[in-house]
Amino acid sequence: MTRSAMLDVLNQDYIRTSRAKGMSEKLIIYSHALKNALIPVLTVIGLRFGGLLAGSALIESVFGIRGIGRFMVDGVLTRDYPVVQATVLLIATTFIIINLIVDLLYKIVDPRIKY
Amino acid sequence: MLIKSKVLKRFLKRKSSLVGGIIIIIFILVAIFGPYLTSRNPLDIDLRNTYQKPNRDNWLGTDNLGRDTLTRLIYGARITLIISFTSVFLGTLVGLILGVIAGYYGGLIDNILMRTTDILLAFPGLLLAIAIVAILGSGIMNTMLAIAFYSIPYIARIVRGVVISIKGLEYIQACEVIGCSNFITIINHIIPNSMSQVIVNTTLNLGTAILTSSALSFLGLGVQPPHPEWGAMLSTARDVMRTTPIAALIPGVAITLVVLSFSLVGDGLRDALDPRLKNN
Repeated sequence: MTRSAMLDVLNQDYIRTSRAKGMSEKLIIYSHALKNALIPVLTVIGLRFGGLLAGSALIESVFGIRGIGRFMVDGVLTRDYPVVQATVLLIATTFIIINLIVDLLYKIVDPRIKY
Repeated sequence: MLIKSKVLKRFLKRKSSLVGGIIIIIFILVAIFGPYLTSRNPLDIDLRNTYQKPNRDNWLGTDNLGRDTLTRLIYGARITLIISFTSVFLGTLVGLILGVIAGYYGGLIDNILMRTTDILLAFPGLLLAIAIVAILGSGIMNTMLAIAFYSIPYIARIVRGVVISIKGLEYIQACEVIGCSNFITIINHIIPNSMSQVIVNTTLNLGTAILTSSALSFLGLGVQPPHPEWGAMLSTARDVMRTTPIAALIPGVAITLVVLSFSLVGDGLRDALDPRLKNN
């Protein structure tokens, strides 16, 4: 993901300009290229978080951790609906908040983005 | 026909996708001809031979009740593939219909449908499946419904985007000018032209569906024992992972192999059907 975003950014004109004005390669990569390549990476991080949150149900069952995920699975198995409702809602809300934070981080990474 | 052979040629050029396709075909054949490949019953219990290592009688060893792992793996391929194909087919069908309606008609219908998919997308996939199983109860049928339901919003979103881009093209306007009804336009022109995206996503979804059904069965929410499902086999083998790792390794490798193959085929199809490459 980062690789393809970097390849895309490194072909841009402003990278050529930075090279032409004699910036060090390290500075170009870290301050220009990586910063501009971060947007798609951030999006993927946000979306992956959902998978991780839901995956906690699996991980907690395997390793016997008493967390939200296992609580939810136990709730399903014992037909404890309020527990299922609460845990599903909690995980979905966390997922939405994380994606909101990702959206807000876009502005820090790329000041051109306005809301 | 010419286009199809070109697509096939481009697909076959990618060796990894070809290997993925061959693996999937082998698994499908194993699932269809399972009973001819083994004379044993996947549910036959033999308590004197539990947790056997691979030997001459049991090629891949036995599980906690002495059932032959190879036989269970072969019969498990049936259940796993039936669940994934049926659920993805159902999900794609409903998603396609909703996506086409939302994209073609636009306005209020589009708004209502897309806000509903937004709500569904707010739940991570596996979580939505768990929530649906909590409502419907566990079992093969409900696992299929749960997986079908959670794949609807993804397909609907993709199809809507494609339909909106196709709707503005000249041949759709030409169709309107000669007086085609909305239904004819959708069936004859919109759906066939958005099929390439749908096929790619369906293939990629098949892998996810297998993973989700295995995860649900692993948690005890999907296929119930004694049915031989790969996720359920993995779950049974979990307790003896340290002493008999092969029992967990075999269904794990089978799941990984099939999911990897579907994803390789999906990637290959995406490259082969990409309109930007059509003229090359």
